Amino acid sequence: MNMTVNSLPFLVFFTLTAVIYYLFPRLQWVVLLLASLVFYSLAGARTFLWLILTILTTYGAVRWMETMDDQLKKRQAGELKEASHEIKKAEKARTKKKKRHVAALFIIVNIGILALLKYGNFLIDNANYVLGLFGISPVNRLGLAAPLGISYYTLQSIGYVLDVYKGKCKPEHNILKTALFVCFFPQMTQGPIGRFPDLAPQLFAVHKFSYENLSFGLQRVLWGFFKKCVIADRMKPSVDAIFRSADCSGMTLFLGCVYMAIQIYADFSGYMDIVAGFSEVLGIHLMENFKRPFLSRSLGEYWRRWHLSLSFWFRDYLFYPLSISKPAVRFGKWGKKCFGIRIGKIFPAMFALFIVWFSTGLWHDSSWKYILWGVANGVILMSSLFLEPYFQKWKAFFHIHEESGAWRFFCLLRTFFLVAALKVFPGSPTTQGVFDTVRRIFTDFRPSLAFEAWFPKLVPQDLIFLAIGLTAMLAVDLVQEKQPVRALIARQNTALRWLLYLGALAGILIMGTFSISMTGGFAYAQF
Amino acid sequence: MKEKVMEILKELRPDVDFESSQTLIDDGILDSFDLVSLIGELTDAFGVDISFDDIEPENFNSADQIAALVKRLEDED
Repeated sequence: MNMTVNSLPFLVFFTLTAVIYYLFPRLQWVVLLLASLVFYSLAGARTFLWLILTILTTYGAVRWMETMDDQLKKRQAGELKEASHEIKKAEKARTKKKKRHVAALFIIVNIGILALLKYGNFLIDNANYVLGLFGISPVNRLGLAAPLGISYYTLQSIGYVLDVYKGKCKPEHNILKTALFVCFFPQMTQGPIGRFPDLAPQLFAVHKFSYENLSFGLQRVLWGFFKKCVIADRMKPSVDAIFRSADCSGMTLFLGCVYMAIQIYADFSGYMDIVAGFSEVLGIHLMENFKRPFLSRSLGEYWRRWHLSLSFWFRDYLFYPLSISKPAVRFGKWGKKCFGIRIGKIFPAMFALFIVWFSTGLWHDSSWKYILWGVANGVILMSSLFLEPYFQKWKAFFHIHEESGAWRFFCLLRTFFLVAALKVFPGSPTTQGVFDTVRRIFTDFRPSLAFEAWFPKLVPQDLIFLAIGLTAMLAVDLVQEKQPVRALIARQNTALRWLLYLGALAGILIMGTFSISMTGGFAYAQF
Repeated sequence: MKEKVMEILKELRPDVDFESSQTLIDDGILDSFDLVSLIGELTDAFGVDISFDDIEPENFNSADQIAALVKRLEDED
């Protein structure tokens, strides 16, 4: 049984956990660990061993690195005390190198597990396709199931090990506490991908029950449910119908991309609000994963506001190391020689960007359509990096004032439609379907005013509910951009606050779609 | 050294007041592309080897911190 965070069993499970958590304050982290293990084992006991393996290797790697540091310190205080600066430096470098090998081994093992479980069949399918071209009989697919949230907990564990390697945090000595950090249940299925220095102290601390945490947490849960039930789940049937239909017009397909952009935002950010709210009830503040992405003025800015924990993970642990790596530096030197200093300078970043976006696509799903989606994002970002000086000249020539309202609004719309257009990749049912969808948008647009062409699978009542829901979501995002909405609500008098809460609750009950939300999952859980 | 660092920073982002800013990374004033370009420029200008271990906000949040990082790496060499 997979308990989605918006299901009734989860609400009961969470309430019980929270009650026990506050009844036994000294055992809070143990309660969280037990709850996480129960949550995880309910999702599939067969895959539980893979999680255990990641916990053990994480614990082993950080303790091993700590032992190396301790040995160096001992030697520095003893036999190396009188040694020359060069010898001390060489010893330090040797320890660093050994620690790097441990971190590399840990990464290879855990990325190996991820690759085997998530991408094994994808590789076999591709290999079989090539073998088929030469008339060679296909290789059997693997019968291995990937554990719940493997893409999230693997990256979180790698981040922790690399933070210990860099000396950003001390390794945890208690293996059970390490286990809790890896599998804290609210963030298990869809993140956010936590950082040890921020998350671990909160998980292991004793939290007193606080009315503010309860009130703020439940407000956030309520808002998450609103986005999920009123917007995401109401739009989902229409989006699914559009991309599954073989005969809908190019116009409807284009609208499907736009709807999907909104639906996924409401779904994923709604999930984040729900898990952040539940965690807040427990006194734990998770990393914010969204910062109003649809108020971005460029695709680069959008990715600094969308799924932050993943973007920052890729930036810190992949983009930076890659862009200063020897191949990237060599690529930059070659670029400077061939294309001049200005262009050559951006080559290392472009090299890293391509690999990061290829990996981001692959991380989302083991399919070519997601890899293409990632590469398309990367190519656009690389192009904007490359063309930036020309854009500046162009804007100066046309006297465009970048801070003017009209230009900012144009940039917002441009970014939104660009993000929506890229939904053609995840929206289309197959990789071949992506090309078919694009072809139909451009060659079979068939503009129409018919209701069914604009809003398949929806009825006028859905539009009213969606209009209310989307207006509320946009209003909250606009206010939040200026000041925290919850602090603003907290400043209102009790009657108005309760009116808002009851209004949101009534909104969910009246306008929400429960047939999907209470039994089905969230879009990002599949990753 | 500080002057040379300032020169590199001003060339990289003429729109930023590097004299007073103490939160170049924390407030996103320098983005990841700026940081990578900056590392390339510092490497070329001072001949230091800035590694993955050194890419931390506390090394790049201000011109002083950047100069201190370069000095530390020069001393280590």
